[in-house]
Amino acid sequence: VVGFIEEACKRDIELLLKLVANLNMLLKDENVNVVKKAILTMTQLYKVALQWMVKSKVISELQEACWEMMSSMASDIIVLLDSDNDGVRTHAIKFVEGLIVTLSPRTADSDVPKRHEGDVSLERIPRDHPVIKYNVLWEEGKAALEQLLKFMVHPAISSINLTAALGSLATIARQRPMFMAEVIQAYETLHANLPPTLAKSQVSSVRKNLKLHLLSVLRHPSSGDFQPQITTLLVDLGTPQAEIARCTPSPRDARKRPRDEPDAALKKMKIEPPLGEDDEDKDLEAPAVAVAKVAGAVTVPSDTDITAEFLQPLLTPENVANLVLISMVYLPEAMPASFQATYTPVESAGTEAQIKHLARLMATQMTAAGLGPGEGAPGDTLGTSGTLEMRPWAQGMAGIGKVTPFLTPLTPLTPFLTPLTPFLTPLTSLTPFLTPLTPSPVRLSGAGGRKKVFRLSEVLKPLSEVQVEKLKLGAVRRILRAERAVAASGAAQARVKILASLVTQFEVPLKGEVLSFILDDVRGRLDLAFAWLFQEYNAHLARGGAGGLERYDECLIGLLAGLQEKPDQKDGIFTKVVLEAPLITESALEVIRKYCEDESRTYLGMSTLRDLIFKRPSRQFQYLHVLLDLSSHEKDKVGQCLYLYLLLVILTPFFLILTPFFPIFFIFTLFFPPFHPIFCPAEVAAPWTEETIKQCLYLYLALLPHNHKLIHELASVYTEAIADIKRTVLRVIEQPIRGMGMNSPELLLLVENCPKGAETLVTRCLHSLTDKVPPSPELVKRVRDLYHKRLPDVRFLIPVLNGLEKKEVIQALPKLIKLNPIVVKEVFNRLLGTQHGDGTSAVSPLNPGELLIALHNIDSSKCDMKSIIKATNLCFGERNVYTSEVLAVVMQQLMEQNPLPMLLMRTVIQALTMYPRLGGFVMNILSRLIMKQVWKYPKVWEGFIKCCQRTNPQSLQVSPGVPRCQG
Amino acid sequence: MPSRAASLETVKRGFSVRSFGTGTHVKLPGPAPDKPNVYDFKTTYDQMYNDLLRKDKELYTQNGILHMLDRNKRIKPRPERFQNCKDVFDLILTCEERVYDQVVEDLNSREQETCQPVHVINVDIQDNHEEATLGAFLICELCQCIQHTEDMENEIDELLQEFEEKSGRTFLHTVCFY
Repeated sequence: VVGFIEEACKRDIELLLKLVANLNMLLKDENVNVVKKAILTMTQLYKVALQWMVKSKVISELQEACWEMMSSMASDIIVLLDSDNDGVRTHAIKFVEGLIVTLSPRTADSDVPKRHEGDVSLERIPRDHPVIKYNVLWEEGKAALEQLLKFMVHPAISSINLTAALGSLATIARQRPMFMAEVIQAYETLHANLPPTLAKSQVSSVRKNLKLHLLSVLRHPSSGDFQPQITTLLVDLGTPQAEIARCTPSPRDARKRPRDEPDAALKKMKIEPPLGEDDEDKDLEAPAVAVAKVAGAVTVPSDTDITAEFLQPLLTPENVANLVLISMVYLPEAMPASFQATYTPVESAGTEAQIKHLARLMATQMTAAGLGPGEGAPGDTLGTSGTLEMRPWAQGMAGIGKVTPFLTPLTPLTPFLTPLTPFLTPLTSLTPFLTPLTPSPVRLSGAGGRKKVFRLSEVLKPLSEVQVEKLKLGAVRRILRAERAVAASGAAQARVKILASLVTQFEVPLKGEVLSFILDDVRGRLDLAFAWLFQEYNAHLARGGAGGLERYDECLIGLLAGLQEKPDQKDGIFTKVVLEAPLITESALEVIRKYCEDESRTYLGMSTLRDLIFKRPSRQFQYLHVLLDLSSHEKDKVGQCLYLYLLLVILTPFFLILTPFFPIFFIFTLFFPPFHPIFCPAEVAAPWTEETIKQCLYLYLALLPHNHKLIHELASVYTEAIADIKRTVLRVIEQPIRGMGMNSPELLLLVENCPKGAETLVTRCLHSLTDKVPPSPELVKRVRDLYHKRLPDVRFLIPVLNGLEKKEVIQALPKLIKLNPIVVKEVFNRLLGTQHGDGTSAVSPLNPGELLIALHNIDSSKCDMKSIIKATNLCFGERNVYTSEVLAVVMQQLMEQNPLPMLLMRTVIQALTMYPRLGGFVMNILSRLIMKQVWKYPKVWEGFIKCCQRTNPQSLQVSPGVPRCQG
Repeated sequence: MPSRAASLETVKRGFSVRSFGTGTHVKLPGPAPDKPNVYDFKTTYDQMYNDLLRKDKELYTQNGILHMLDRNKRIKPRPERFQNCKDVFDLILTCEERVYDQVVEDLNSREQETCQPVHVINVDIQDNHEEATLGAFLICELCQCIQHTEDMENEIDELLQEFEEKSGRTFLHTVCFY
């Protein structure tokens, strides 16, 4: 039905006369959908009706009544802005938009939609129209706008209404640029002051919308004057600069645009309530009003502009800080959703433009709250709700983006105050002072209250020393306690920052407070600890590095010592603190050292120290010294750990250059009676015991496998050492040498130029190397050279026997068997491979048989028979090796030699004793010996006889072969 | 893809739904995520159908694209681009913030005529099969709830809040005017 009315009336306006009443009825219908449709229709018809009224030459009474009806319906719809129904409100907003556009003059720079080209607007209304009064309508239009603006700042506005209103305002701004100022201002207010009832997603929707509309307004050529504001808003909303730039009309366009028509400005002035007449504020505002008036003559001033200009010079950082501080008191307990969404980091903090923007925002807030010099009316409204007004104001501050969180009184300050550290202490002391005021907002209400707020810093009397202390302590405690709440709000970082900077400026008791707080839950509060530490360090640097270190030192020691006392810190917090501290002071190092000495933590302490050495090259020496100091520590466990860590330290190639000095230094201490002071100075004259020697060598030996060059130092020291030390060295050196391996060039070098006096050492080394594995050709070569060219001590050859050639071994054999029995035994072990039990040992150059034969063939002039017999006995001792088969082969070969070896028969008899079943074989030998005229060799013959005697009666068989003459 | 799944679901349940594209092209899933099949808005569903049939019948039968195209070509000849459609709607649902932005911008740039409001709601749905199915049901439920409201405009705010809470997603919601 309504649609029909609309269409009908558009076709023939005369019908409106009849239908207007119906329309009115429908407008008051109970069904919201009908009402909505009616509003829509009105939106269309109002224009049509006005046009019709304007065009009609003669206006009948009916027509006039009809118009009257339309007007009253229009105001009814405006009232519907407060309807209970969301949809109705939305429609009403649209209607008001249309109404405003219609009831205001179109200007040259208005955006005119093509479709609405022919629509009526105020400028088409002749001033002398009998019924329609230009001025009245103009006022009505402005009143409607005011209504709309008022509607928008309603704290409980729904997001849809808000969206609709935003859109309408954008349309108005574009189609009627004269309202641009109001619109922008409304946007600013809204942005800084989103209704607290909106949910998070709604906030983002609204912000999206706001951005869109701002961009559309910005595209309009008349936006020139407002560009800075719009741009700031857009940036705050997170719009990229490029997009803003794209939408900004070029300056040339802006210049072409005619200036605001003077008459519009004048008109505007009339509407503005007379400014600055309030006695109460006069003293404060006199200059501002003057400025405002001047400004007003040039452009279109608004309350906000004036207030902003007034505020701008006042906004020194200090004042701002004060204001924020003050407003803090009124903050709500929970953070409104809008804040979470509105927070965007401010890039241009502290610049002129930023201050300007801040001033504007504050002004917007203050005007909205009825504050500020721009507002004519004194604080009647103000008196009613002092607190409430302060809140949006404070929120405005926050909305700028400088202040994020809103949960604890102080946290929001942080970003703000960081650049203002010098002001911090006085400000903090203000906070507790202000807190008690919260429950009694009455004191702050009214204009007087406002004034008080403004001048708070001047009004304050200096607090007594004690009071200040107390207040500070209280404030810090509150911040400390607010931990969880702040964390929940996501402002933890800000809190840490502020705490750190505060604490740095505090006296000792406060630091203690914070310290114990940190130590309560080190893990959770580590960031705070670091923030503090670095702040202290900064302070130290700021003081030019002179003298300020004690405080830093104190802080670090406090932390470390506290950590040390804590039981059971497995997670390496101690390490972390040490490693991340900007500077490790002497006393801190002492703490670390103590930490290492604590048995249960040695491991952790050492690893810390190690990391420290790695990561702080500039002080490596210092740290290393501590480490080395510790190495002589008596407690065994410490030593063990240290050993491990030194290895790790040394492994780093970087350190290879550095470290040799230390162990060498250590070794030398071995040979000079006065001990190095670090070895218990009390025992200066004490003789060396095996223990002390070992202690000294400990480090060296640990290093040796990693730095082979060290071996030469040892060798040279060794030659001069006393017997005790030599013995100990020989005893302990085996393991490290084995670690070096026989291919170590340094070791080979040592073997090659074995210094005089170090022979035992070298031999020991050789033994250690070849104990389990066959010698490498390289090693053999060196040893051979040494033996042949410089030191013909056969003992050198023993370890490498298996690496020598058969001939060499046989050559050396006479000398070898002359050595003491234990050594000889070892030689044979090596040669026979009986040492290792398993079959992996090297292949000896001589097989057992060959060895035995070689022994038999030793020239008796080179070696006494006794040694040879002993040596052969050793062979026979190895029953596993010298089996009957081996012996048989040996005997066979010996027998075939010419001349017969002296010990032949001895061996035969031995063999026979060991293996009686060789009897037959022996008989065979005996008979063959006869053929060889055995009686020509006296010794052998003697043995032959003996053998025959033993083997009687079998030997009787061979006897006939003996020539009679002998028998 | 998600919007298509959603529209399929809503159609199945008997809503009067029209689906649109907002981009410059029609993109259908291809053999790999970075190789979609791209058509312009002039291409008919029939042409797409035949094209895909030719390319890989197995694949496109499996992922349901052919089925969808087959259904679509019985409803309308070719895909529509939202920006070119002058019809009036009550509710516009988008499945991606980017699309939401495009729709809102388009609606705002149109010249206003009837001032009839249209609600635009964005439900972010990831472009994968599982999410699309989940999202389709969510949207469907949302539509049903909206359908059952007595006064949509008055209740939609609360309804959305409720849905947000229930689904753990956040919606963007705005109103535009024709």
